[in-house]
Amino acid sequence: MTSCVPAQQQKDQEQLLKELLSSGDEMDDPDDPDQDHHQLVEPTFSFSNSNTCWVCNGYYGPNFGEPLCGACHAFLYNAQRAEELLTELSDDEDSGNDEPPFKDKQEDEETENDVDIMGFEDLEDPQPAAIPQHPNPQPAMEPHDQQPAQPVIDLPQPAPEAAAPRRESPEHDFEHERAINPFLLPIKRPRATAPLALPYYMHELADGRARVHEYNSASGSGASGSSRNIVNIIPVEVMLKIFAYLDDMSLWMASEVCKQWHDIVGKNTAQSMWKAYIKQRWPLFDSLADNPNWYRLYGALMSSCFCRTCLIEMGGRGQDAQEAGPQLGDREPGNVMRNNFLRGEANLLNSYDSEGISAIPLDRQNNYWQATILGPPGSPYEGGKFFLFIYFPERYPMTPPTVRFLTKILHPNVSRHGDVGIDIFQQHNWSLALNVAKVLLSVQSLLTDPYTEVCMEPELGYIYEHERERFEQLVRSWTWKYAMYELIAPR
Amino acid sequence: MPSIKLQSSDEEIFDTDIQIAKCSGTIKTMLEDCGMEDDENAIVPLPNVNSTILRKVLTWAHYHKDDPQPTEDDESKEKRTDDIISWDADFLKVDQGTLFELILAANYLDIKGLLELTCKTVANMIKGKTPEEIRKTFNIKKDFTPAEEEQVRKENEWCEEK
Repeated sequence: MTSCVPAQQQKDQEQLLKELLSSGDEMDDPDDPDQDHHQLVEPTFSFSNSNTCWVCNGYYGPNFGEPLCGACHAFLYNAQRAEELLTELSDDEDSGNDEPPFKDKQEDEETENDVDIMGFEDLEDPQPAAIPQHPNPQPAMEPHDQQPAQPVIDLPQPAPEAAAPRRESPEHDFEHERAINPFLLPIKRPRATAPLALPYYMHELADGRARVHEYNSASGSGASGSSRNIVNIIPVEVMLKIFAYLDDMSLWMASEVCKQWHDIVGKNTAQSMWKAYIKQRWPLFDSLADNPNWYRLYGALMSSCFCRTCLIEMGGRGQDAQEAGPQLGDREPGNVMRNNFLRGEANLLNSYDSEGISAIPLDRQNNYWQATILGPPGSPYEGGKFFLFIYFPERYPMTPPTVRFLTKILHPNVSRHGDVGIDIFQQHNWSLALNVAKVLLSVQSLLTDPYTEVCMEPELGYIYEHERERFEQLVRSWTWKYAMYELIAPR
Repeated sequence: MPSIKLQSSDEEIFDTDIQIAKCSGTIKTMLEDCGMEDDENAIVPLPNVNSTILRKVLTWAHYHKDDPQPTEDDESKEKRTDDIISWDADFLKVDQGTLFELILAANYLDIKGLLELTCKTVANMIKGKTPEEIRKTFNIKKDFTPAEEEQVRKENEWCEEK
């Protein structure tokens, strides 16, 4: 009897211990079990449920390692025009009749003021060459009758002009590299195609598994003998012909597919080509390393981004807009005020250099901008340079811009797709008193003080509130991993 | 019009117009070098192309027989992939295995136009896709750590060194 009790107790205790352990596992976050193990090496974090689309949970299609599946992305992020329609609708619906006239009045005042400021700014700024966006001499003496011509000459897009003198050196380098390997793909890549738009996905979803069929046929041909796989049957010289049709981004993506393709791309592309395209895709990127491996650097920058679909879209839009520039400008002479506004902001931004923010337009219409924010000193983001994407809708400054992080950043108010959750980006909280610089500054201050009452990523909000030390550790490791390529070039 | 006999790998004979057959650089050289042009009964063996693919290739060559000769690779010209005519697009609505065999045949037979077309089609299948999507599309096995992961590992090494 007596001997039985301790044995029983021991058993019970063991049982209890087991239960505790297992229940502990169940209760914790999905990434927690690994936590202890990882913390010894390096704190890692991955968003829960990240292997399906975080919007539709895989209902509309596979996400292929991206935060969103193609269909959800097209629906939520691709349809900028549709977004504007939506905001117009909501304008009519809410808050009565008082606001629009008031806003219009303000608009007029702002325009006049702005033109004045503009002229002043332009005259004040005698050395525009140092800054990518030269203020135009035109706006200073901009009478109203000249307005139709205005959009055409507004804010010269920096890439072509700035690239022209620079391009000599990449091409020179390219000739050198070519002397060593005559099969190098030419430096000028074809244009990037925009990602598939919403109509495509609508059609596909309505059509019933069109894409599933495509994949099945692929696996079918694979099943009949893995030797019939594209990697095995297409000779390298033909693969090179195929790669010659790819734009820089697709080429890099292809290099990530398998070893063979990685070797083909690595051996047959010039460093100077990647250098030129880093300049084009990340105009605000400025490598401090002496002579980095540009191909690696390009890859590192590409993989440091939240959403590759957005990157492709940005690249495509920038180029399309560049080419369609003059006609578009002719067609839309109405947005003079918007352009004045934006031009003013570009000038204002120059004075904010010391604050660690910068931004430049990517296209002639100033629709798409790229911005950077330096991690504020004292925060775990310190030392990082975070790239952002800004889209100014047609009705800007009446409607707020869209601001999104490109560089991966761990923050409770930044979603896993890079969307920033600040109230000023909502129509009702947007004010004409705000501008790009103020927007960027408020994003920067958000980095110092996350607002956890409402979170884009509640999981991170929880870690921030309850495990501050772990949060900072995680943030530092992400900053280190994704936002410091200027300082530490990948080898 | 003079014709010529082409023999596929599975020994099927195709009676072909000589002008059409000559869009293939390989056949053209073969005919000229071997002096087979005048010989009505000469059979050109094509051991690398089976009858299904050869039939497709000849269909394509027949449709494009009046095309101007494609110029040599001109690098100054932008390489577009969105200029595929609708007949070609329909022609290439085939499964991937057939598409790759067409590429191989075009490469072997040295038919520039067809090679260009098929390469463009494959490029279009790659364009704008993420690596994982490309892998899925072509059923490629992942034998490789992406740069991102590699990057992380490298940086850790760096930390450790320090």
